Amino acid sequence: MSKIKNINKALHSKRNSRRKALHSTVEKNLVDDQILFKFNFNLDSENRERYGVVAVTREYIFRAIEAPDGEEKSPAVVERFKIADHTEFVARRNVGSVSLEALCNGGDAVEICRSDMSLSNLIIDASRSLNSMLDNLNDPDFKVVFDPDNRVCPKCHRPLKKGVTSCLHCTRTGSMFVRLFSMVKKELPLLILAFLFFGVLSFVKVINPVLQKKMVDEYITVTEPKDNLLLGLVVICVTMFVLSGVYKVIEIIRTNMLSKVNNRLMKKLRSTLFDKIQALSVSAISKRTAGELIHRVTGDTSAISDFFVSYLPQFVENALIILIIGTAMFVYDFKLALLVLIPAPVIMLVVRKAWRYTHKLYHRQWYMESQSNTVLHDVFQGIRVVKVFGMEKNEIKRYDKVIKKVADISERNEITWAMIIPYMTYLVGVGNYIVLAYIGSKILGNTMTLGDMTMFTFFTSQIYTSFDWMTKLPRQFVRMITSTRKIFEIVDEEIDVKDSPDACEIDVQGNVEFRNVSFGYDEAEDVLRHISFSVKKGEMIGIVGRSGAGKSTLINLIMRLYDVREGEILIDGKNVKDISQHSLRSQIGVVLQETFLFSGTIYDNLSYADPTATREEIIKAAKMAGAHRFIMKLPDGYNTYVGERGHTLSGGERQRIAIARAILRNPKILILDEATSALDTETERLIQDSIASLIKDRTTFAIAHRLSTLRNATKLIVIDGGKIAECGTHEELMKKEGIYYGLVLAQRKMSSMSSKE
Amino acid sequence: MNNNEKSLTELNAELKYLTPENVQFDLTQGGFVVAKLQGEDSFKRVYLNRIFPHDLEEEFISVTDADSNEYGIIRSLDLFDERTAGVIRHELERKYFSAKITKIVSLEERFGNSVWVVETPQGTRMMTLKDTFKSIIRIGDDRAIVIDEDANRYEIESLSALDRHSFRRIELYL
Ligand SMILES: Nc1ncnc2c1ncn2[C@@H]1O[C@H](COP(=O)(O)OP(=O)(O)OP(=O)(O)O)[C@@H](O)[C@H]1O
Ligand SMILES: [Mg+2]
Repeated sequence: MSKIKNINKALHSKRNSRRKALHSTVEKNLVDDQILFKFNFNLDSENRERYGVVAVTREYIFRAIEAPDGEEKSPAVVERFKIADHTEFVARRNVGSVSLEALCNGGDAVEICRSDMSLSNLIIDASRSLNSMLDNLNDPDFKVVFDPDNRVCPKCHRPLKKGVTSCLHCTRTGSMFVRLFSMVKKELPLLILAFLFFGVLSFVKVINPVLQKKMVDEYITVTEPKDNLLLGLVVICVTMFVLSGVYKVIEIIRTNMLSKVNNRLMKKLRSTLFDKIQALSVSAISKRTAGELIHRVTGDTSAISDFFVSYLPQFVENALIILIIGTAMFVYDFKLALLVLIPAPVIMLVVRKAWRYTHKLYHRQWYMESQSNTVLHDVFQGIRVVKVFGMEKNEIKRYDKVIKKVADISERNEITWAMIIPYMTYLVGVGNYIVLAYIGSKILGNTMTLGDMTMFTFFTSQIYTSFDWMTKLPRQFVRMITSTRKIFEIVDEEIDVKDSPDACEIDVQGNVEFRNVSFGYDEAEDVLRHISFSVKKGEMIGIVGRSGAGKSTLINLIMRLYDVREGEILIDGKNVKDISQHSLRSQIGVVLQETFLFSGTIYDNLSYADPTATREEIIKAAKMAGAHRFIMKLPDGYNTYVGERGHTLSGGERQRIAIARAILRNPKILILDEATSALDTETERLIQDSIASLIKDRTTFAIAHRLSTLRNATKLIVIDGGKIAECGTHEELMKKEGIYYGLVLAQRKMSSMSSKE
Repeated sequence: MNNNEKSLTELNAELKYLTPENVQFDLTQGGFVVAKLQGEDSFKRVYLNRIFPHDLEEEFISVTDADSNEYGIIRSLDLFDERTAGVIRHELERKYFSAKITKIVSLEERFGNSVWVVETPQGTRMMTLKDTFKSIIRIGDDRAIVIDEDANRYEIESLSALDRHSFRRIELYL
């Protein structure tokens, strides 16, 4: 790591000195203007690395950029752009870079600066600040805000990623370990007790050969008979017998204890993680794949637990064995101990080297295996698509290819080990032979007994086994630490959509207002721009627009699945950010565009919306949603199990269950996102009627591509290009002959065509 | 049925190719590409996008307006005269930026991420990959694109041309 650290330091200081020079150049060029904000960039317009700085004053943008030859000595070039000469500032997202363009009156533009993606947020924020300055050119009191998220790690000066609180590069393994310990401190007493047992066990393991030696030397190889020979032999045998009994008993107790600790640890880690994931916002969660999150919750937690209950105690045991036997050997025969211990480091070194290499191989094998699982997952999940397109053969080929890769890599792994292991056994064997030769000569010289030999061979093999085990520890440690870091990464993630400290519970009436709301999933691009409208309690709002216009996004904002970037959303005059999320969402009923059913029965899925609902209420809701009929056609009725994602139901059937769910919720605000899109017009009309009775006194937001669905709407909002393009009643919009008019006409044409058939 | 046929033909809409006969490209003073399409009397700003950015750099270029409405497709730059091709190539190179990796100085795993120090023609760079395997995209047998956690792009033009040490470092991730 230190190599990388040094390189980073060097890069950082070089960057810093280059930037310092630029900043001072800019400041020299300012006359007496005051800099409102400034920021760095690192590419020229041809994507060559040239550092620069942009400083913005009330009237001008100053740009200093290093001379093109890259020589740090030659002076930077400074240029000035008058803000008022431009009509708009655009952060243009290229591939691998972002540029700031200033559009001019004549239709042309100039590029002010450009950065690679590591500084992209500066350019995006700057474009926003500059545009706000443009909008307020005549207001001398206007205060421009430029507050990019440019936190850097205080140690290594690398920028910190959004939502991350600790720097990847400066996280200390030790401190993480300490933190992990404090997280599991409740289990520590039990764990320590288990360690003690391990100590006892290693002691017993060492005692045994000593007894054996005693037996051989004093009772078996004796030349002159003693009186109590038999008795002594029996005593030793019984002691050994008892000891091995004790060993087994302790082993059983220890195993039980550890599995208890294991369960508790796992439960603690998993629930901590799961709670945190539940608290994260949709955007934070969808940054990661479901598979990754599942791995965090299951794989990483068990890696940590494994370490604590299996590797750490075994480490204690083996370390004690090495310590005790090592000392005993040194005390007994100094030279012999050296003979035994000298090959040990060599073996460890070889093994370590081998691990280094195979570690990567294993990693690759693991990746390939997960790839092959992905293929399987894909195929089974998409089996309909595969069959329909007749691609079974191709899928077989695809799978074959992946498993061949898996086979190749695991073969390579095995070959590597097959080559290493004989050498190691050989080395250990050589060690053993040397020891034997040494002892043999000593026995011949009568300075050592046969019992000594038994004891020492036993010691030697025991100590080698322990050394061998020790070499595995670093790998396990790395695995555990990696898992720990990944878990902490989630645990430490800042919750971006969170309840403010004085968030309140409210009784929603149903007045909703958007004030100048802008939002984008991505920093650079807004999906919705400057949306303002207000809805009174009990009104039904139809939201219309092309696919991808941002309709679902709009309702996501009402539910506060995401926070707006700019502006505010008020419910009953209160900013949604000040309402507790639970209170808000519990009073909103939604039918989402993608209907998701949990694995469980239809009844389970319905009562999910309101666990306190009685059976009567559930049936009533299903009836209102037009679901009762088809549910009753199923032999198991409401107890029918709808498997993974409810695939056994048709699209329209699933939608009706979702509608019933929303009805059960008895919400003040009802959101229907394409709630009836999969239904035939006839069924839709029936459900519409029950929805019509349902939405009385409720504020309803309905999205539909089939415009007839929205015939009951009090008001229609047409979204186009991220803005509200039109707004009004059906009649008003028809009269206007705008986008809505066009959509209605197109649909009429389509339906008249299909009816002519 | 009628209905279906109609929408299918709409989907099948012929690709509109832009050729020297029906379009003229030029540069503005600010250095941006403008085009004058057949039947129109003025140049307007256009945006160029590679349709297959990974493997076809000078073929299949989509020409759009600021809102991604496509004017047409340039089948190949070769069709145009040198100057025009130069203008387009230059703009594409401005839009698609990836530093070329000439040497991998160091590659270390850190808590499941990997930290790379690489040499590029622009100097030494340091980058972090979130998921090393997924961040390396193989193109054909010999090329690879590496995308770091900031979404910066790096390119290895020829894996086999890398020096032995560099290749050994990256080999296991391929
Ligand atoms: N989670 C997301 N992350 C990033 N971009 C998203 C996400 N969800 C939607 N988008 C993008 O935001 C834009 C608006 O999407 P939205 O789902 O609001 O459209 P819509 O109007 O509901 O369309 P449709 O009628 O097809 O449902 C689209 O360009 C879409 O690609
Ligand atoms: Mg939608």
